[in-house]
Amino acid sequence: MMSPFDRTWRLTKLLLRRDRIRLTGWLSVITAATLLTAAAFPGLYTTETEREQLAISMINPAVTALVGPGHGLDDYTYGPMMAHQMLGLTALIIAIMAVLLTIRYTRADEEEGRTEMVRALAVGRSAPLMSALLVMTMLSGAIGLANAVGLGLLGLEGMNWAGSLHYGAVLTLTSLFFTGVTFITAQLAETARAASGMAIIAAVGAYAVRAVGDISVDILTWFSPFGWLLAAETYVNNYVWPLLLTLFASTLAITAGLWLAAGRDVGSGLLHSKAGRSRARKSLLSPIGLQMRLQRTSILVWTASLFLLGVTYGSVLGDIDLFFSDIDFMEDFLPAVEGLSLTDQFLSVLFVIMAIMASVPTVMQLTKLRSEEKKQRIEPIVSLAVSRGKLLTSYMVPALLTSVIMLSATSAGLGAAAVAVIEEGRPFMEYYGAGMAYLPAVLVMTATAALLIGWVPAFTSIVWGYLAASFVIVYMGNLFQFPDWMDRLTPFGYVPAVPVESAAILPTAGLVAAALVLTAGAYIGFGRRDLQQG
Amino acid sequence: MAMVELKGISKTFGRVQALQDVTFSVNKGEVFGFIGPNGSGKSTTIRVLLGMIKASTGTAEIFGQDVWKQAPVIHRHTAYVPGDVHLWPNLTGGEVIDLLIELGGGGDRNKRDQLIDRFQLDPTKKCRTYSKGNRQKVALIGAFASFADLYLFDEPTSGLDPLMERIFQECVREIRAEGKSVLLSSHILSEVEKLCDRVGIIRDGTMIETGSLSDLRHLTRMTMEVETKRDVVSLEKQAGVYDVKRESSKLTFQVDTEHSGAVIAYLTEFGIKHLESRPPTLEDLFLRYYEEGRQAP
Ligand SMILES: Nc1ncnc2c1ncn2[C@@H]1O[C@H](COP(=O)(O)OP(=O)(O)OP(=O)(O)O)[C@@H](O)[C@H]1O
Ligand SMILES: [Mg+2]
Repeated sequence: MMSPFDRTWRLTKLLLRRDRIRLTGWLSVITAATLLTAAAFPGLYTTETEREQLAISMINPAVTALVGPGHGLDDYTYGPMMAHQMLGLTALIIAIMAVLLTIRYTRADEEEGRTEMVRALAVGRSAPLMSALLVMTMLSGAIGLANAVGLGLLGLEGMNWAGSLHYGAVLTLTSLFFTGVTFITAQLAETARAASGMAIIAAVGAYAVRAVGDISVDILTWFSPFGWLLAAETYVNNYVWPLLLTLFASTLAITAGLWLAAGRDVGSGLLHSKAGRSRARKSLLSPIGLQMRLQRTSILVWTASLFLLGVTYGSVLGDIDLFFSDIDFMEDFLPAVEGLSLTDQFLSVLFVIMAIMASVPTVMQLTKLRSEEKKQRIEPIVSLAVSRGKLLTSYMVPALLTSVIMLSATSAGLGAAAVAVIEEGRPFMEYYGAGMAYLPAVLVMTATAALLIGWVPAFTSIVWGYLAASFVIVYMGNLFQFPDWMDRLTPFGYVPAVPVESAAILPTAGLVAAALVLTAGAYIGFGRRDLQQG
Repeated sequence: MAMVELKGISKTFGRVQALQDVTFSVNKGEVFGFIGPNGSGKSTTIRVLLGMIKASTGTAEIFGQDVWKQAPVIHRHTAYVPGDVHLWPNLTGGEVIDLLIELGGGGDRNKRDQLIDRFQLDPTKKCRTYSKGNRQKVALIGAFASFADLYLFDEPTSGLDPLMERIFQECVREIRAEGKSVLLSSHILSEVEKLCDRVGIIRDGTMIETGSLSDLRHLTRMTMEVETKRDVVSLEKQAGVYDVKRESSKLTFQVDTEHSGAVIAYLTEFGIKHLESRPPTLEDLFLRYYEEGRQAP
């Protein structure tokens, strides 16, 4: 009789060999990101005064939500700085890594039939899962060790060995915990995709619960492993009990996963996904309805992200003058202008960046038309009573909506936060209006994508290059003192930078006209060309 | 009346000449089989008919209207099923069927539900989870349930199991009984043989034969099996006889349809004990044209 664990070790070696590049990739990228950031700190914040100012500027809800609570802010040396600014986000990325890899070694392998093959060869029933656990444990340990040793060897001010080992332990435990969580979802969900979806929601959800706990409802912090681990005060107090708590929870999750696995058939899930609709809603039954339905999740996610980006930028505005007065670099970046506060100048740069960010989901609505064409999913539509024009419109209208929603979300986020943090500042509508002034420029970008799709579909991705170039021109232009005419190469360069400059009708009208002309060209091209397959 | 009319259609992709002077028509109430080897231009012809690609030269009309300029108008009365159906992974089969029917100009709701039953499709599942055959069923149900006068099928059963293939054939017979027309491209020649009134054969982008199956058979050979009392001598020398194989007293050979009478008369001289003749299957026909094509260049 064969033990359920027969040949676990052989299988483990097989996984390690098959995925040696993937595994070392994760290990080295995460370690390099940590060490490079740590090594850069002394150059960025040399004096104690600079570090104190940084600490002050970090005490606001947006930053706390993003990276976690700061500890040891009164003695903000490089150790506490790392634990504050890097540890939380690194842990989140490691959690997602653990989910992706664990699914890969469990359900994804099953779906591709590899597990059945392996089980058919004489391996124990639990061997595939055990070998997945072994590989993940080794990777978790390696990541913790590499980070701990790297930081310890750097030995910057405030970075002692005890703290560095603690830092590494936090990373290892995060990875183990989410390996356990994924072990559970892998048994529940019906497909690998659903299983990784559930586990990623759990990871991001746990991070969000921690964020809400840290900024308002204290008790919530204790419902999230990220809350426990960031409360361990790495490099400040190096508490051990939160680590033990996480280790205990991880063991529990892994055991639960193994137990559930024992009662499950290969290729199925314990939870059956509920049946979908057998008939379409009326709202789906038009080309635009179809697109809105297909893109709604991505629109929601982008809206939330851009709103948060706006809030983050807005919440630092209060300290801008204080924060930047000391940094020489900023003087090149934003040359002082008579009668303007640094905050206002900084604002005008922020709005362009936000507009470019808002262009990304908008342009994506259009490039989706190209990717759908490649996947041969517009052929079924065009073979029905839908003209080329109508089809293009079903992508243009959602794009137009997206541009308005995205700019609104990010401008409103910035406005709301700015009104909250700046005393006696501008009214909300002024911020909102300044952001929305970029709408015509975003539309020109979108129309450019449409034009490419209409005439030279194979070169659609040029639009991303153009957007990236626009970013470089408007963002770095001041810093590197690009000649003025370069500003004219991008639609974003034509928008008057309200609130610094006053609004002007002419450039706005010009951009709208350009967007219309490009769009008309796109319709003509798309109506004339062959559809392509792949 | 011609529902589909192609005259001198050519199509070049860069330097590749995919279609060359393709001419044929599909009449009202007729099932037209469209066959040819891989890469011969069947799908390209159908894509021209659907207005997905524009013919380089020639005219193509459906219901007497230009397939490129009037595409959306024409498509209110046509239905199309490709061999490889690509659907939206997040929608359920039922939702896609409704979408295909609605955007195609409407259809019969009862028939939709009946078809889902007949094809044994679970319409509540996401398309992501469907196999190739199930995706094809979604497209077929959408097509058969729509109000269409012309059905364009491009290898519609390439993913179906034999049971489902039979249901497809039943559905085609039903729509033909209603006076609808069908253009059916397929590699399953037995299917074409069972369903089609007329057949067009394409090779290297050129139509090499069009006609009813009996017309085509007439152009070709049948297989005969014969046993005679005395040994047949110099059968090979008779006009129109090929591939003679001897197996003790049994002879198997092929004969041009037009010479079959004379050959039987010749065989009678040797005292026929047993004679069996088999008309050429479409497969024989096809293979013959295909072989010729391979020898030609
Ligand atoms: N977009 C394209 N670009 C270049 N060549 C093409 C394109 N589409 C088709 N072709 C070529 O045209 C020819 C006909 O292809 P088509 O797909 O029509 O064949 P088919 O008869 O449908 O074959 P199959 O039986 O394999 O489906 C092939 O040689 C193919 O390579
Ligand atoms: Mg084909």
